[in-house]
Amino acid sequence: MNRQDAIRQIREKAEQDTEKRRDLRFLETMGFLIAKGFLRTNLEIRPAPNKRLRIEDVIWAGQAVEPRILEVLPAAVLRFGKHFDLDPDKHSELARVIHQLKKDEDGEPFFGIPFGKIKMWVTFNLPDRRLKPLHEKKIPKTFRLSPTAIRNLQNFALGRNCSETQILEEFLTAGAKKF
Amino acid sequence: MKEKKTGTQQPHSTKQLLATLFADLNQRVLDINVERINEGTIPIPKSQVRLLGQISLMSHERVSAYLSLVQTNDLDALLQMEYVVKVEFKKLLNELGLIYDEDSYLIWIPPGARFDPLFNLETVEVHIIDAESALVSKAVKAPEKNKQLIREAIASGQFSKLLDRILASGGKLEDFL
Repeated sequence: MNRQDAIRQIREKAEQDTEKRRDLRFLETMGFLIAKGFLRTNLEIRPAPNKRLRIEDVIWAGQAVEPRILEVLPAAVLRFGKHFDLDPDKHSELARVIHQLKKDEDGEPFFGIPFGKIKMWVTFNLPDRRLKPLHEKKIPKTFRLSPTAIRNLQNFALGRNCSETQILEEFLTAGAKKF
Repeated sequence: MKEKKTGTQQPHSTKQLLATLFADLNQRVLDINVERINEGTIPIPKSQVRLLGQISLMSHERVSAYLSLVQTNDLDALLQMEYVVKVEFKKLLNELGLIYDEDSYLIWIPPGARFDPLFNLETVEVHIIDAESALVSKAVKAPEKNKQLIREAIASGQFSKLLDRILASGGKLEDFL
């Protein structure tokens, strides 16, 4: 193929690319990811922070239009799970990556994107400060304490005007320094 | 139908974001320098930043007006600064929802690349790689990830030497077909 033919083909493909960028699957995916702060763009796309997305559509947008969508998809699903219809049977690769991210394990690439790149987006600060990064989220834990210990805990909390959880956290942090 | 790109009209454009970032960094370094001078120690020398990658393209307002650009929140740049400045720089990036890519030094800079001045502040000087060279680097080193971007750049006819530079650097036209 000569150079002129190649350039002509590239121009045709570029026109097809423009059409793909008008596809609703791309626009809605980008609208959500921009609104949540995972991606930035110079395209005029309406932010859609409340959108619920189909994983198939997001993967299409990532494969057919913008690979950076696939780079942030696992972190987006992990941090905004309710906005995606993740089905571990249907989306086993994605479910596998998310499981590894949750466990803070090393993992395999996702659509050829190195795991380290994907992991970066799990802990970075999102503009929506209501959502804490995974490593800052509180984890529920149950203990059976004696009535005396409970009374002491309640009294400490009352005296310091803070929650019992805060007392325990402070006590454990200070205690940990001694150990 | 012509696709709408925000170009210079975007209220929080990348260039504005970078202007805020480097103005804040400049101020913090000035504050540190005041303390150092008061303590009788040497002030921090001027830092140099060379912006690369997608953020460099987003910062070129003219380029941003005819290329469809999407970026993640990492900032690729070559930094020449004292450790204390780098720490402040990364803190400021974090406050703006950005992350410094520590692998930036691995980014290939094609021969003939030019670095144009973007900001020249008292304590930090920022340069930006020219758009064509940023595109050549992407086309040669990560053609699959940047296929559509390179096609759009070639089709736009705005980068007169792009194709020749890609081919001269070992890139293949077939990657973009």
